Amino acid sequence: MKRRTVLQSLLSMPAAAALPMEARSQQAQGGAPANRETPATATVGAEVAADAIIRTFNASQFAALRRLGDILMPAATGMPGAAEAGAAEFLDFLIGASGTDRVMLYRDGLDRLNAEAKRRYDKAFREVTAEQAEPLLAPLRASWTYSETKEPFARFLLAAKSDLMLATMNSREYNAAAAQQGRRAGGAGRYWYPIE
Amino acid sequence: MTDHDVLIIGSGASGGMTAHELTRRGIRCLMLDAGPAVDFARDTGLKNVYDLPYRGFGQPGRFPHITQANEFNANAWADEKQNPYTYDPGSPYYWVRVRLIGGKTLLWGRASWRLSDFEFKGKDHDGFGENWPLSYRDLAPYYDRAEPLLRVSGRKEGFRQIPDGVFLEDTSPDSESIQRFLAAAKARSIPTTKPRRATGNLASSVNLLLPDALATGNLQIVSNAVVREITLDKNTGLANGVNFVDRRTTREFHAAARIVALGASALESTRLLLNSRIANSSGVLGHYIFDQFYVKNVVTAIVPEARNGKATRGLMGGSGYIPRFRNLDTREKNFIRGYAFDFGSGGSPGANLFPLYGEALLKEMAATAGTQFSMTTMGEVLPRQENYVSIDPQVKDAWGIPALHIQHRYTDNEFAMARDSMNVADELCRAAGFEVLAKHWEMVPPGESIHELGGCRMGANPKTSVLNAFNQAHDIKNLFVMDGSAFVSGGSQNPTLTISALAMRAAEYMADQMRRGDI
Repeated sequence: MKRRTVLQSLLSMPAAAALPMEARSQQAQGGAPANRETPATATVGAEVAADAIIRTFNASQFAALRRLGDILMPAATGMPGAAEAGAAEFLDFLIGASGTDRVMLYRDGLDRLNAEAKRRYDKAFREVTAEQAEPLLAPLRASWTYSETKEPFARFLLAAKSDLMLATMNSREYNAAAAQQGRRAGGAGRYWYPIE
Repeated sequence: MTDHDVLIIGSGASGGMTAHELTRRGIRCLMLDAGPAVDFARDTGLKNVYDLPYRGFGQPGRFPHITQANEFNANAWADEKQNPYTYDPGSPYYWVRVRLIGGKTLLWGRASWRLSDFEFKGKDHDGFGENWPLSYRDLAPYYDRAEPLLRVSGRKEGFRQIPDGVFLEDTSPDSESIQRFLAAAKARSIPTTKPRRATGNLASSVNLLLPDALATGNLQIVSNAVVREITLDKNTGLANGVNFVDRRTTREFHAAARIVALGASALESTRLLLNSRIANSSGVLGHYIFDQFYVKNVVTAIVPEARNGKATRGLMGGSGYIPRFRNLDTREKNFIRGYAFDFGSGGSPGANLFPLYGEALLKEMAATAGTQFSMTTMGEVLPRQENYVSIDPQVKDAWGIPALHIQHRYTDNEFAMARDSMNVADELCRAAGFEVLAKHWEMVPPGESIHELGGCRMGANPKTSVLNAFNQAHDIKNLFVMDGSAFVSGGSQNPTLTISALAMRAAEYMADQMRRGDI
């Protein structure tokens, strides 16, 4: 099922009415506006209605990132994982909007995953099993240190772990699923609009 | 054009308190602030993190020096491109600013501790630096008045290093995990207390100080007024006003007043004086800047009994404070002065602390949810002549005003304190029966605590200080600097309460001098 379809189905469930923004938006689309003279027009986010165009990573890099997301942030206990949350698609955008250093950290790291998978298993990283990925992801088993490691591949893996998890947990899909379970996730906060 | 008695630059803790104290004495004030006023109903609102364009990550690169900025509050912080500053590449400084009416009091952490004579008379104690030209006794009556204004709550303990005050007594019980920690500290003669902090939904000059000042009819506030320089009367050498730029239109204005009182924050007020080329006969202007170093999460631990959701009612939750306990009655070998800790029970350890991924990580995160006990160190940074700000002739802000160059480095004293604090925190957590997940002693870069101080230090000697004991410039008697730039030293206590009390005292002195006709 496409990610958009998953999201639409989650949002159509009764419990999703508890969601403050998106659910209200969905409901508003189905009903008459309360005020016809100065109505607040309901809209949905682009991610709900369309697929992101991948621009930062090439096809093999992006496939490796999606597989890495499956392994690092899998779906579990009724909650969506990185794949369902579109985490890789979002990171393609986020990393692309970041500085060159971060773009290269990711591109080189994903190329390294593919090269290591090819060397060890004669296939791309997107095709490796979780067990086969273990030796490739060994740097993630190292104990925590405050100072960032200087080894680029380890830095990439630690960054990807953190980014994939946050991109998942802060997604619409994850929050909708949490609401289904009567839990809160990701969270809401007081937003400061630009002040003139 | 309306004549004003006092022109106040800045609307935060010091500017707000100055206006509060002067206007109630019938003194007509004009306040200029570089930013707009916040209408909370219009300018803020609840949003889901997934509705933010960057899913809570924030726009990459927007705030390279403001670690406190997140995607929710990003628009509250001063834009770093419009307000540039420089530092040597090897010595980064994180200058965190808010350019809104109310300044940093809109976002501060609210911790409100008094300084003591361990700070005011620090030189007498260990021979380093300079004493303040006032003692705790001089400032105590103003602390007594500032604390109720800020609605400070806390617990009276009788500690010499953080004197008791006039605050709402915190009688809340401690959780079991906190009690275990307190017992471990007590066994080692390390003092502990409840947090002391300003209370209320908002604890800002915009709700606690400025409304009363405006209600007197003696205050006008001009927003979006970026002050370029202080102007002097050519005949008298006295300050006669300021030139400022409208932030939005770049239109230039001059505001006149009998007295100029700066409360733009430690480094902004210093920058304004440097750009105005005044008040520096001592050569000290811009020097002796400091802040407080933080070791964030110096120790992160978990309370084992709370694992797997098994926390009994009352086991977790709560927070507290360890005031300075080093170098009070004894002398440490490796450092002078001291540090404090914040500690808290509750919350969940971050995923980065676990050497796991995938399902194993998710299981461990679920097992440790709500089990965290963490501590943060806040240490004194020694004021040194070689830590200073100057005007960078190559860089200007969006309004053409020359920017600051900031030179600030930690020295062995701070490093030794930070390392000592890690060892103490680790020992306390283990003694309380907690499982230490992570510990470190890496200080945040200078400035990151948002406790920048000094640059216009006060003193009895005009040759070694910029201001007298009442925040009045030695060189120009109708010029006052009301904010944290006046500090001679800072201890490990969060400075806002002391900034407020000093501004109150200086405003009272200013009003008295005006009444006498001395200024």
